[in-house]
Amino acid sequence: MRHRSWVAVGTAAATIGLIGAGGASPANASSHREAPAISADATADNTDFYMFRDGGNVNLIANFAGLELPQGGPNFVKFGDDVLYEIHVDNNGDVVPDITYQFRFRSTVGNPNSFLYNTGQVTSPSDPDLNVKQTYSVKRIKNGVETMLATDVLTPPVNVGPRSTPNYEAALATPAIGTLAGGAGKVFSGQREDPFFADLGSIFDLLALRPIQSNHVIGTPTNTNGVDGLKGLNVHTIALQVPIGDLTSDGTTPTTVDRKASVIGAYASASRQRVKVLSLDGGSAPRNAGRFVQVSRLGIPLVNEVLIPLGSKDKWNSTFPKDDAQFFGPILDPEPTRLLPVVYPSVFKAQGQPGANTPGGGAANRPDLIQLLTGQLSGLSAANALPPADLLRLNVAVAPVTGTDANRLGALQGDAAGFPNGRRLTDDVVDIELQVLAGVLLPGFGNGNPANPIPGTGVPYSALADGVDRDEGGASNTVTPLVTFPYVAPPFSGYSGSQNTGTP
Amino acid sequence: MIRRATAAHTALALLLVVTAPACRGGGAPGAPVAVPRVAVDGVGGTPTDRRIAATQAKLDATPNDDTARLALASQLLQKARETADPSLYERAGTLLDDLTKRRPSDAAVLVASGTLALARHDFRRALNLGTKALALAPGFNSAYAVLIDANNELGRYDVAVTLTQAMADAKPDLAALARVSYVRELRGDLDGAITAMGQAVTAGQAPGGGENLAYAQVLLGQLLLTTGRLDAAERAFADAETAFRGFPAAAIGRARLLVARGDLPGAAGLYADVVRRAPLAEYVIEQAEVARAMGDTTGANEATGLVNAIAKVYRANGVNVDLELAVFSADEKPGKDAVARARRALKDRPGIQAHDGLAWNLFKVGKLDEAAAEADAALALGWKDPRARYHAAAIADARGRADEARTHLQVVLATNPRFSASLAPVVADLAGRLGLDRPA
Repeated sequence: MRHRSWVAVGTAAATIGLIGAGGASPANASSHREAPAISADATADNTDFYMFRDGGNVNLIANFAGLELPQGGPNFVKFGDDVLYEIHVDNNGDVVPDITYQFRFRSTVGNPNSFLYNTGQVTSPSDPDLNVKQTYSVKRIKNGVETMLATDVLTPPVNVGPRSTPNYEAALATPAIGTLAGGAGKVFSGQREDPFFADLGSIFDLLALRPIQSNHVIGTPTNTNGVDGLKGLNVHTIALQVPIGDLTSDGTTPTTVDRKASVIGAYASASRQRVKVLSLDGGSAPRNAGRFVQVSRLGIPLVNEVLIPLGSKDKWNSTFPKDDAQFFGPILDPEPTRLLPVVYPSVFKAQGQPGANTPGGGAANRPDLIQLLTGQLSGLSAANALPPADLLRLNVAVAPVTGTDANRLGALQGDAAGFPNGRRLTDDVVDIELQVLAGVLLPGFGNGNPANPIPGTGVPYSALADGVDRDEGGASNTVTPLVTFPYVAPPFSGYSGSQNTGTP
Repeated sequence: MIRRATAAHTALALLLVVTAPACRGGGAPGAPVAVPRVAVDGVGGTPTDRRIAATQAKLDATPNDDTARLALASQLLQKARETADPSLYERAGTLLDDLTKRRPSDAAVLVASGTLALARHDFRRALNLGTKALALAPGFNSAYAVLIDANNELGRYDVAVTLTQAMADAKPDLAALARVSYVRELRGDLDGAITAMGQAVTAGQAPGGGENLAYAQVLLGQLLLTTGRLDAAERAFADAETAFRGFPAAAIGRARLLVARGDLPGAAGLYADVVRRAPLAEYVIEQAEVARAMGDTTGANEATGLVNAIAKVYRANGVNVDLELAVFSADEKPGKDAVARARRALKDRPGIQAHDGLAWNLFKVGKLDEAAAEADAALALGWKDPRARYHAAAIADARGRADEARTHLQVVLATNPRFSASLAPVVADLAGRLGLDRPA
C-alpha cells in the first residue's frame, strides 16, 4: 500500500541471490548474479577473470554483465558510465596491488529522441548511424604514479544483426582494438561471446552432475551429458595485453619458475562512486561525492560464487584481497565438500562416518587450498609461498601453452600453464575445482592424480565433472577462442540469438 | 457503469479467492512444516513464477532443504509485491516462522522475516529482525534495507539517514540509491531525489529488467511527475513497462500522469484495468477520486465500497492499514471513529504520513488548532508532498492564516496541483481565493 516497500529491492535480491547447498534458479549461478545486491547491478557485476601468457605478453581479461541475451534491444547492454572498472596486479607478493589499470567509459547519444540503437547500417565503430556510442580511457597507476595509457578508445557496437552490423569482426570489432601509450600494449572493450562454460542448471540443482546423476541421492535413472548453461549468451569484455616486463616488480621477464618475483597475483573489480545522502548546506544533494566503493571483485573463479556465504557476499565484494583472512573459515571448509556425502551417499562418506573419504575443513585438513591461495599451485615451493589471498596467480616464467579441449584440466593433467596457474579461456575450472574440493590433490585422498579412485570406491576423482568440457555455442556448434588478441570469441548477433544457432 | 461494476466485482472476487486459508503443516512434532503450495505457471509465467515453480519442484524432491525453503519464502514475498495478493504473506510466514525456529542465527532468514514484517506493516518487528541480521552479518545490504525501511516507517528519520549513508557507503547499488532518494524526497529535496533515483535505475540494469528495476523506474517517474516534468515522467513509466510487462505500478503512474494532464476518461480506463489485476486500496481510492471528478457518483461509491472490502481482507491477513486509510476515512466518513483510527495509526507508525493523516481527520471534525500542530509535524522535515501541503494550506486557511496557507499552496502549485482528480478544482479555487495564480 502506501508504505514504500523497497525492501523488495533488497530482498528480491535475496530471492535471486540464494545459492549454496540448495541453490536457486540457474539465473544466479556461477559468477553470474551472485551477491544479493549485485544481482541487480549487471553492469558492475564482474562474472569472470582470466589471465594467461602468449609469447612475451600477459593477457588480462575481465568480463561483466553475464548471461547477456544477444537479442537484448532496444536497450542493449553497455558498460556503466558511472562504474570504475579496474584490473589490479600485485607483483611483489605483499597481496597489495602495485599496478592498477583503470577503465572509465563515456556514452554519447546522437539523437536522444530516437529509441533506436542504430539508425542505419553501421560500418565502422565511429559510424554516425550508430546512435549510442561508448568510448573509454585507460589509466595505469603504478606504485602511485598515474599514467594515461589511452583516451577516447572506441568500443564496437553490440552485434545487432547482419543488417545493422554486417561483417562484425573485421569491420567493427578489430578496428576497435586500441593501442596503449608507448605502443607495447593493446586494449579492447566490448561485447563478446561469454567464454565461461558450465552446467549451471545441474550444479545448482543440488550438485546433480548429469554424467553421474544416477548416483545422486535424488537419483535420475540415466546419466547424460552436461548442458552448457551459458550456451548462446554474450558478455561485456575488457581485455588488456601488456608485455611481461610491464607487470613484474623489476621490469624483467623471469625465467626461474620457483622464485617469488616470477608470480604475479591479480583480480578485477568494479566500483561505484560514493553518494552523500544529504548535502551539508541543506541544498540539493550532489550527484556523486568522494571515493569509489568496490561493489564486485573476482580473482580465483568460483570463490565468491560457491564458497562465500550469502550473508557475507556484500562484505566480501567490498573488501580487498589483503584482508581475505576473515573469509578463510568458509573458504577452507568448503560447503560443496560437505555437500558431497549428502548428495552422493553411495560414494562419499563424511568425516566421522565409517569409511570417511572426504576431507575435513580447516587449514590443517586443507593444505591443498592453502597451496592454491599462496601461489604454490603456480610453481612455487613451500619456501617461496606467498601470503594467502584470493588472487588469480600466474607464474610468468612458465612458458605458455595454448588452451585446447585436450588440456582443459590444466595443472590436474600436468599442464603447468593452465589453471590454477593463471586461467585460460578454455580451462575447465568447474571440473578442476570440483575435483580439488573433493580432495584430488590431498595425500591419502587423490594424491594428485584424477585417475586415482576415491578411497574405498572404484570411482576415480575424474568422474566428478559436469560433463561440459568446452564452450558450447548454439544448438549445433562450439566456440573456439580467437588465436590472437582479444582472444575472446565474437559475440552472437541479436538477429540469430533468439534461434540460438551460435553463428556469430 | 455496468462495465465498471463488473470490474469492481472481479477485483473483489479475486481478493476472496486469494484469502482462502493457506495450508498449514501437520506432520510429526519437531519436523519442518509442510511446504505451502502456490499454483503458478512455471513455463509461461513471470520470471518470479518460474522461480517459484522450480523451487517447488525441488522441494517436492527434498522437502527438508532449508535453503530451498528460504528461497521459496523470498520468492513468495516477491510475488506478493508483484500481484498485491496478501494471502502470499501467510504462506511465506508459515515457512519463515518454521525456519526461524530451526535457524535462529541465519541472517538471510532474519532478513526474509523482516521483509515479511514490513509487508505486514509490523515495523517494530522488522526493526528487531533487521538489527539482529545486521549484527550477525555486518555489511549485508539486505539487512540494512529492512532496517532503514522500518526506521523510516517508525518516524526515526535521523537513524534512517545514518543507516542509509552506511548502506550506500557499503554498496551504492539500486537498493541503496533508491533509499537515498527517499531520504531526500522526505526532506523536500526533489531534485536530489530524482538524481539518486536516476542513479538507482542505472545501477539496476539487468538482463531482462525485472520488477525491482521497474519499481525504481516508477518511483523516478513519480518524482518527475511531482516536479512537473510530465514528458520525462511518461518515459520513465514506459521504461518500467518495458522492464516488467504488465506492471500495475507503471500503469498507475501513467494514470496519475493523465490526471495531471486533465485526461480523466483516460485515467479512469487505466484505473479500471489495473484495479482488476491488482486491487490495492491506494489505487481504488484514486479511482474513486477520478470517478467523483467525472460526476460518476455510482462509480465513486462502488470504488469506495471496494476500498472498505479490501481493507477488511488486509486486516484478515494481518496487515495493519490504518495509516493507508486515514486520509480516505477523513474524506469519506469523517468523525470520532476516523479520528481514533488516525490516532492509532500515528501511535503505530509515528511518521510524517501519520501526522498528515491525523491532521486531515482533525480538520474534518473542526479541531483546527490540533490539526495545525499535526500538519506542522507532517512538514517538519520539509516534505513537499502536494497532498500533505494542500492539507496544511486548507487547515491554515480555515484558521484565517492566509499567509501560511499561501506558502503551503505555493508548493502545491509549483509541484503537481493536479495530484488528485477530485481535489484539482478545490486546489484551483483555494488558489484563486488566496490571490495566487490559478493552475491551468
